[in-house]
Amino acid sequence: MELDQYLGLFIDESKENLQKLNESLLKLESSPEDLEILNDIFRVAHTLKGMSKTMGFNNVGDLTHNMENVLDPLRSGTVKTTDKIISVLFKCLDKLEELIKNIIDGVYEDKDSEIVDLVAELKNSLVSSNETAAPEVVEKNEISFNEYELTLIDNAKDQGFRAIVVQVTLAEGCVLPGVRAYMVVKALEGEGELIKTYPIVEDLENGEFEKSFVLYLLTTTGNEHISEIIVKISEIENVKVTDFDINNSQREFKERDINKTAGQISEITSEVLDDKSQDDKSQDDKSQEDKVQDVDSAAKQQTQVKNVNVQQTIRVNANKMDKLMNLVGELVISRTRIVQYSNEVRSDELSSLVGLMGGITTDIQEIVMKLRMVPIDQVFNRFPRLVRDISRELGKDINLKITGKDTEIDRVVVDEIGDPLVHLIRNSLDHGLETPEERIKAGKPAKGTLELLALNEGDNILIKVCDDGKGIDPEKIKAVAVKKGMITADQAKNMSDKDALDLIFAPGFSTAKVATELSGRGVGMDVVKSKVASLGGTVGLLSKIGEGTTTTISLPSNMAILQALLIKVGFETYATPLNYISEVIDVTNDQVKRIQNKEVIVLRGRTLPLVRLNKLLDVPYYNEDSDKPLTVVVIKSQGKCSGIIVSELLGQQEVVIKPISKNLCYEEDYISGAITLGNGQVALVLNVNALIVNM
Amino acid sequence: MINELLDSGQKEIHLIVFRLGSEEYALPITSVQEIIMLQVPTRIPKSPVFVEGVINLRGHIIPIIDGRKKFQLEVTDSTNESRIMIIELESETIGLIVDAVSEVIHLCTDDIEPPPIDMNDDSDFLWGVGKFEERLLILVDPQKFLNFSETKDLKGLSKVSEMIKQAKIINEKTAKSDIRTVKADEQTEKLDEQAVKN
Repeated sequence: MELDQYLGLFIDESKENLQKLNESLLKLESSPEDLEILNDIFRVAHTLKGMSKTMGFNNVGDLTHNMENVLDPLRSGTVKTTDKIISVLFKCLDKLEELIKNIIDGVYEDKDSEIVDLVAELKNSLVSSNETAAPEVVEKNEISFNEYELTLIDNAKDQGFRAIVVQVTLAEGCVLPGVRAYMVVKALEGEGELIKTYPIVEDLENGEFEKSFVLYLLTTTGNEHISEIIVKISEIENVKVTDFDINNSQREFKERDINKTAGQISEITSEVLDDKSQDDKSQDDKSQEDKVQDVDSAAKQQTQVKNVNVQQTIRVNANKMDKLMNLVGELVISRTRIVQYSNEVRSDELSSLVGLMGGITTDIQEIVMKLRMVPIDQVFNRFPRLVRDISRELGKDINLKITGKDTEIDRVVVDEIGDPLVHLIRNSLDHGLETPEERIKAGKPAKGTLELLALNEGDNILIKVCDDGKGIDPEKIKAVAVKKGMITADQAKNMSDKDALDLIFAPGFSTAKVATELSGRGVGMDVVKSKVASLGGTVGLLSKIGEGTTTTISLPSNMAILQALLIKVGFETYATPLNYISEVIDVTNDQVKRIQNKEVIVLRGRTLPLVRLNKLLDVPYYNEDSDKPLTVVVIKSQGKCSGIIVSELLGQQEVVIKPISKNLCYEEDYISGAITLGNGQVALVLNVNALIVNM
Repeated sequence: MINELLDSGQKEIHLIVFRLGSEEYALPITSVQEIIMLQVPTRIPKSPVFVEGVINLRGHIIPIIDGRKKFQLEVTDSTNESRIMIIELESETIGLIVDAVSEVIHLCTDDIEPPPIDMNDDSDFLWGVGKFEERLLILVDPQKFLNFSETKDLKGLSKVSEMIKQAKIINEKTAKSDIRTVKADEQTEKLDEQAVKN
């Protein structure tokens, strides 16, 4: 079978499954007795095993198989979950991640000594915990019955049947456990009605169980007789037959609970859906988040009985998505041209058809633009593990709070924003948050809090990393900056606290006295800042000594569509991203002054350098009417302003910026991209950063 | 790309022939995406002189290179025959303005002369001269031919034209000798006619 075509799918799904595994393991750590989590982990391991064996990655298959072996007794309750088991499982997870990475990089090898070690460790963890575990094999209550089975038992009881539990243990060294189990099942089927087995019948017949198994039977035969029948089958070590009665009160409670949660879910879901459909950007994220969490917990309760139908998704190649985006852009432009034409033709029929088509294209455009958006959870989901690992390493007790993980961000951002966030989190954990002892001394709770927050604010998305650590001391920052020669002592004296904090973003700044493994390599915040800037966003820092630090990243919510101001210089049209424009003013020629041979104007007491675009861009056929006032567009970037002189303002428009070949090697980087206009022509996008004049 | 073509051991290559100035050039047809009519490109400030600008081709922004400017030929007005060839390079797609696109041909690999050995690196875009129906075609490698990070224009071009001239002279000589034989044949025919008359 040709497997290459499935490789992409395999990798995607494996990544997803590993992420699930990661989350479940973290949950398991806090509640080791939770059967549902164990089942989740088991399912994921099982899926991974199946997929990797099919794909021929036997290493992954073996490892997951052994993980299953460890998980199975945990699931059935024969062995208690210990920290040791969890940490081994984490190790396995790391190894699996490494293996998948190797597969992606194409350096996968089927021989790996580490796996053998890990498998041994897995087995060991089970042996050692086995001793402490209770000898009782399966407890009745842990087997859950569905409604149908419960009714069945009730009805049978009315007709004079008894429900019994038969626990069978096979002899040590039994060669064909599956066959023996099958014989037991067959024998019991003759004596009554088998309602449930543990594990399920298929597993029994395949011999997939540990030595013993449990059968639930409705019968009129006596317990003694049943056990006699079974003992007759060879290689049976032990049979235990007991009466079985489901706790009625518990069952009633369960049912009522189910009804309640079901109602709750439908109520909440409809609320959430309403919220979403309104598409109100100023929606109260927090309350929605709470609701979503309600759904989560309610859903969790319900999964014990019934699986909640989750949203269906399909995987699409990213390239195809981009092509679709592009074509939709063209469709919109073509529509504009048809509208223009229909206005010229003045046919009612044509106008109505064009109007209809216009509506449809607008809808398509909206949907396609939304396709690009993914929940920020895709970035956030790896942080719980990161925080756990780092805080353990540093001996700090930290509670990670994640809020607004359903906030949607552009797909491009997902890939790019991860690293800066990791950096911020590490900084907080390493420099910001204190050890429990220090915290108690400072009168704070021993457990530190790190909060990750994402929310919509206007057209921007804010991502905040907050800690309640010791905060940043501006004086220390100044001292370091002076020492490194970044500023002089005099400058430091007059510097405001806010400006001092901004020094952190300067290249080569690192305050950690000893560079740890985690942070403080001197390539910290400036990298974060430049990365965020490359995505069109900004970073801000707020800190109070003793109270903590909050770093805020602000990003445009949609990377593809941008509001731009179209301007004309001579006969040429250019676009300027609107977020760089602070205002547009008219200036008469005599207001223009000269400083050091540079043209400036005075705007509200500040000098504003002027840029003559026609000269800078060598625009041909440019005529200037000296009597007319100059139109100046004031642009700002990184705290600096400049005024660019344009011939005409054409208006604001939503544009999709497309890259143009960097090989065109302009001497100066005045152009950052291109857009297509309604008439099919191309207009260039000005690179505002290159136009800012340094005074 | 050219090497792949040659290594594939094909007896014939499929080429698209275009005209720039007085010379005829040929590109492998697989590298040409399409041929479109001239359109007015958007000028890019501070770009190399041979870059005319960018156009919108169904949503893709494509840089346009003027072939005449790129090869320092005399710049003339475009004609009805002028076209933009959309050429796919390894990393991007570009448009080349040419004087005319004449035809698509199958050229026997036997009819390809290798480039002269003393060519320097600047003209390595040329990989051979093809003889096709008494015409000489300059066979170019699109990747090197349109390498537009090369702002200094092509110094080797003079050598190329020199080479073409030489090749032409040789070709004309053989052609002339052909004509002579034709003439000789005509004469014998005439003589024959006379003989018949007589």
